[in-house]
Amino acid sequence: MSDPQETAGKAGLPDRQKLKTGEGALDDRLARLNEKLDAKTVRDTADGDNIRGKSGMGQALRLSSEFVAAILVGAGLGWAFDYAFGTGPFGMIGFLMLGFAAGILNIMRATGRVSDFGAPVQGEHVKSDFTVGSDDEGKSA
Amino acid sequence: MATESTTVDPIHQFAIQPIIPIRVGDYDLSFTNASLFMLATVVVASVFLYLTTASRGLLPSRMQSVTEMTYEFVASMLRDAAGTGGMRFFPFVFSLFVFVLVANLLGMIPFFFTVTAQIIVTFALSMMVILTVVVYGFMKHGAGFLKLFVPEGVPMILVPLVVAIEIISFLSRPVSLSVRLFANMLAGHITLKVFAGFIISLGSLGAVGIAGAVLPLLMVVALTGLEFLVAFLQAYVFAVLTCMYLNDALHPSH
Repeated sequence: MSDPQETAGKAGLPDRQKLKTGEGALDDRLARLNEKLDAKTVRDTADGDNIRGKSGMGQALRLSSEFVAAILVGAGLGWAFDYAFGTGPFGMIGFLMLGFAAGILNIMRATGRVSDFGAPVQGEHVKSDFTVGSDDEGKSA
Repeated sequence: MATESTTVDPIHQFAIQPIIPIRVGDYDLSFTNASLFMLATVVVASVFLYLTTASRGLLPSRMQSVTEMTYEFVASMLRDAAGTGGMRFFPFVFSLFVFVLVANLLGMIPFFFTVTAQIIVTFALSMMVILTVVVYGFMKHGAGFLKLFVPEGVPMILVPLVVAIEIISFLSRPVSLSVRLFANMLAGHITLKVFAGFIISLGSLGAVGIAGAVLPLLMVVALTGLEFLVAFLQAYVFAVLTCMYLNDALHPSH
């Protein structure tokens, strides 16, 4: 065990000295490693996002379930409304149409054509510098 | 669950059978095969996580790095979606992810019951998520949480209509969240069973049938691979959407 280590140490002596004297070199190498790691993380997360994009069936199931769910909820609300107020079929009709609209909204949101809940209708996605958000960060930090 | 004869019932595997019948008043609280496999899911997940992290190696063993990677995966997912403030929900999201993942994977073992193919189980999970969002949202922001339903820059005349649509859209979230997981697992297992049934019925037709049965056999092999992918994917999707919804509770007006 000790023999190869020693020889390696002797052979690598100039190298080691270089490293010891030039701390800048080490910093350089660390910086380069960090860059590589960052690049890799970015790539990994990009791959992760692609999972949903790649499987068309997954996408189809996601969108259809979003759409159907909203219509079902609309129908359910309409039925409950009619049941509570005895307004004939009109509650059901009205809420079903609202549910249809909500279904379309869900799909457009899932595909990223409309901004998320509560966000401004137009313009860029405003990341919250809102009191609520900064409050949170302060507490957790 | 088993194939009793050559006729295969692909739905039979999802039947709930009481193992220990318990009745409380008018309620049937029997310990069923679903309860058994939910319990098994929790036990398997807990024991795995406990054993793999028990050594606390600075250089992780293979199994320990599996656990650590799962942790990192969920943590970065939550941080990306809901910010550092969202990390208070980490135990919740991690438990949900592991529960769904382990339940899906346990379901892939032949003759095992798939808990996540029961709509009531997935619905209970998604209601847990939505109730957390609603309760936490109101706790944190009070009535300000209702801003979630009023997009900025909408003309006053349209506000009632838009709010109604937004509320229905919000209410449809638990439904779509639960239906997606349930439908994926149910459809996958039924497809597997149907194709496996083809092998048996073709195989009983003699030499030609056995030669033909190779095709559905190949299909079943491919589908099994696909089902493992779906098991992971659906656990991932469930967790990602949970994170996104929790983000709404934390930051109701972006």
